[in-house]
Amino acid sequence: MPSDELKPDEPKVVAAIDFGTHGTGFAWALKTPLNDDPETRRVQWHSRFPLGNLAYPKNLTALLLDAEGDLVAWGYKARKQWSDALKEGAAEGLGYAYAFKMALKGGSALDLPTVGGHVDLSDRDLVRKLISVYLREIRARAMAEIQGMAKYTEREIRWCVTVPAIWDDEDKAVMRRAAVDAGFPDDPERLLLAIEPEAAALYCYLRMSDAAGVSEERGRLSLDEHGLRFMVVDCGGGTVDITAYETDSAAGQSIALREIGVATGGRLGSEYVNQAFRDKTLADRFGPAVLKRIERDHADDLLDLSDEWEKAKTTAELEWDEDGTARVMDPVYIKIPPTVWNLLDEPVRTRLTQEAGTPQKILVPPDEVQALLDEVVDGILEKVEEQLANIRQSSPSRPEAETIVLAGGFSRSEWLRERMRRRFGDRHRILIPPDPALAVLEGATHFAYNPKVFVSRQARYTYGFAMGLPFEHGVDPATRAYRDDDGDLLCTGRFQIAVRRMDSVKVNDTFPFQGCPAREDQPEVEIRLFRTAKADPRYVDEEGCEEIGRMAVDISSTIGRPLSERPLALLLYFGAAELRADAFDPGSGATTQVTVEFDRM
Amino acid sequence: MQIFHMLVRIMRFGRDTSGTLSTHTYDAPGLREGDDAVLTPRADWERVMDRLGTVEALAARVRDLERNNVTDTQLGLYQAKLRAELAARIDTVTNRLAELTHRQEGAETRADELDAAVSATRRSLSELDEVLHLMRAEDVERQSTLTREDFAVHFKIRDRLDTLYTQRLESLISTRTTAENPVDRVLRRAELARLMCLALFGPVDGTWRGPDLDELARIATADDHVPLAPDQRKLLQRVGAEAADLHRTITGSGYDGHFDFAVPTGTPASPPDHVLWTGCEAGRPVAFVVCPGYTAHGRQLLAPTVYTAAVPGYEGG
Repeated sequence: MPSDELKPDEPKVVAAIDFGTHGTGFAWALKTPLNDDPETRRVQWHSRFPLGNLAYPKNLTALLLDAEGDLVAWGYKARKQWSDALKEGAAEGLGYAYAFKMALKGGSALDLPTVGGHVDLSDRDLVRKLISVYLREIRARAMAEIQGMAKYTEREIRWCVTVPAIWDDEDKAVMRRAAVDAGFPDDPERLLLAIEPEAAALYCYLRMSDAAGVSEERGRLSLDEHGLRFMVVDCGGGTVDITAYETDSAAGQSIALREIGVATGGRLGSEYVNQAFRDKTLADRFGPAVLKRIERDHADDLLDLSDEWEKAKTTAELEWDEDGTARVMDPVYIKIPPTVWNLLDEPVRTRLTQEAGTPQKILVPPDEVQALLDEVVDGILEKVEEQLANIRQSSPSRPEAETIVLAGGFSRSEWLRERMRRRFGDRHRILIPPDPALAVLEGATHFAYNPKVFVSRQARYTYGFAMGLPFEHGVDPATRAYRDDDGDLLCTGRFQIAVRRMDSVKVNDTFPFQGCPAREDQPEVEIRLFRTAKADPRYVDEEGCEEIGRMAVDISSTIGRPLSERPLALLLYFGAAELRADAFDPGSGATTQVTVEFDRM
Repeated sequence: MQIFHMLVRIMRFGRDTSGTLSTHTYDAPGLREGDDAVLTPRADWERVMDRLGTVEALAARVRDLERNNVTDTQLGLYQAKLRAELAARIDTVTNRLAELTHRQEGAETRADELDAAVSATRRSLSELDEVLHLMRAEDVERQSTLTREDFAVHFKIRDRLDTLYTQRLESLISTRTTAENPVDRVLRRAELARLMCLALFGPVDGTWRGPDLDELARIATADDHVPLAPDQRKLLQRVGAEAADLHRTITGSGYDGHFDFAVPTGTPASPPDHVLWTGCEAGRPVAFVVCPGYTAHGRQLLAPTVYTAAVPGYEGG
């Protein structure tokens, strides 16, 4: 899939931002002839976030705001400063937000402590603002690296921001608007949105992955093979997202993916393992009262303890009994900060020292490590099983073996891999990319490099716009009838379908329509876009139809002409992770580009 | 050119019109009075009178025609004058048109030349842009501070080292510290961990040639004086195998990687430049390096773990 020949207006740099619930990172690549080959393409990713884990390419998706809502700190620094402020009793007027991305869809993002101070994630305008503030910071960091290293300018960069599969067009539009507010280009050619599991799949297509299950041979995800069904299980810090696809060879050289069933998942991210560590292990070792005191007065030390656990929890190695049952073989040692150690009673210290063989350490034995991991692993396996059942239901005649791709930071856990292998390995093939934590980020970078790699996307809804169509007696109610200036009897509010639900739509495919105003003296036409889950809606105001955007097209230059001389063309573009509408007026010879404004948020 | 053709059409039209306006002449008959004085019957006379009236009418018509003849002549003169003027003007316009056409052709040629120059400049700019782009790309290639996909292996190495230092060695030294039951358990654990790290990643001068597994076994068992339980023996083997695999991975990664034991004694311990051994505090002088730092391609990925001279806050163990 070589890219187009280098042109002056072509981007010279592509940069992707994996905006995650728990963590956010960026990567970039230069668009050069050498890099056109995705096999050898050099992708750089950022690994120097302040206070971040060196080996983890993401910063925490967290913000600290002052009383006016202005940014104080972001990422791990925000968390640190918030915990310091709590410790010093200086949190008055501050607002802390973590894992706010999923609040965009309404409801609480995670059932973990994600906010503090004046932040209220039920306010969607605030959530949008938080996203925008965060994206502004990560963009600034990316620009600093790209400009610092290579002196490229903003206009030479094509950006890509990742979005979850479960987000609909409206959510994506909000994300795009938040990104534009954050300083990203207001140009769909220079700001792409990549669907997270598709990005992960692309990464597994381009890079060799470890395999487990029915085939142990390392390999790639054969996206160029017709009819391959696979499932991406993205085990992130906050959530686990499971999306199933089937490939379609009709795309020729490019890749066409069809989503099967409905993306599922849940609040099963590895942060819940950390929460269990705090609620169970620490409460058990220190006692609930001391733990409460630590939470209240030494939040920074509690963070240190959590970070120690976060680092260690995926490192435990496994061993297998004679019957093939795996178990965690290594204990985990957690260093206790001196302040916390001094808070403990002597009997507690003695007990902990005896357990660990050394003072100032907690020893978490292997079976407890296993139990803590299973707090989310059990749920993940159930979700995968559900999705497999959904796939089987969608085409029961197909062979059962599926390919399961494990992505996300928590997929580094040997225990999770082993549990997946034991549960699904005898029937399915499990692929684990070289660094699952980077799969979405790297895949999104490759997508930004060559967006044409994906040519098809299934429409989740039926899309169309409101139009007056010939009145049908006995079908349309009389209240909808009206005559235009040509004397034709029309029915108002008809749903003119552009794309039907489940239709496969090529990227940048154009759906053209032509119409005209109803009156000769009409100065503008308002085009209202709608969607519905129904396949054949008749009217735009029937149940289930939802207006998703509108735009006003100025046609004043042709006022007074007969209606037949006032045609208006409408072009709908689908597939590049967003919906765009262009209108132009061939009657006046003037072309007007109109951007659809989603104004319901 | 459009204008020019129109004028030609008008000019031809003028010539044709002049053709349709050519003058017609009539010869008047002469009348003499004497010739009419003869007696004739009344009927004949009346016929003659009628004829006479006809002749007079003819004469009047001839006079009219003679007057017209004068007007036509004037018209002819005026027409000739007009034709001359028109011809003069047409000549002027034709000349002007010729001049304008010439200038237009010149301008078109110049525009073509400029277009060609702009295209050439654009091409040249595009080429320069591409060259600049490739030069910047080369510059990026030379950067050692960027994190590339092929460098990611060193982050994994860093993680594995961290696990080895903070988890596996912790387990491995427990047997000896339990057997020795030292007064200062923290210090003794730090010393044993240092010895094991030297066996695995030493010597201190950084000329690492791989782990010395025999030395590791001697430290773990105090020269076979401390027997290891089966799971500890297994752990010893795993630690040795892990260190050997790390050596293979580092040497095969394409990037140089080395271990750093060099923190001068007395240096104030200062995270994140140093990782503090359990019970040690920032600001205290470094007594020795317990676990070496790890640097790959000139970038420190793991800071050395240090033991500080005094351990305030630690109250025994």
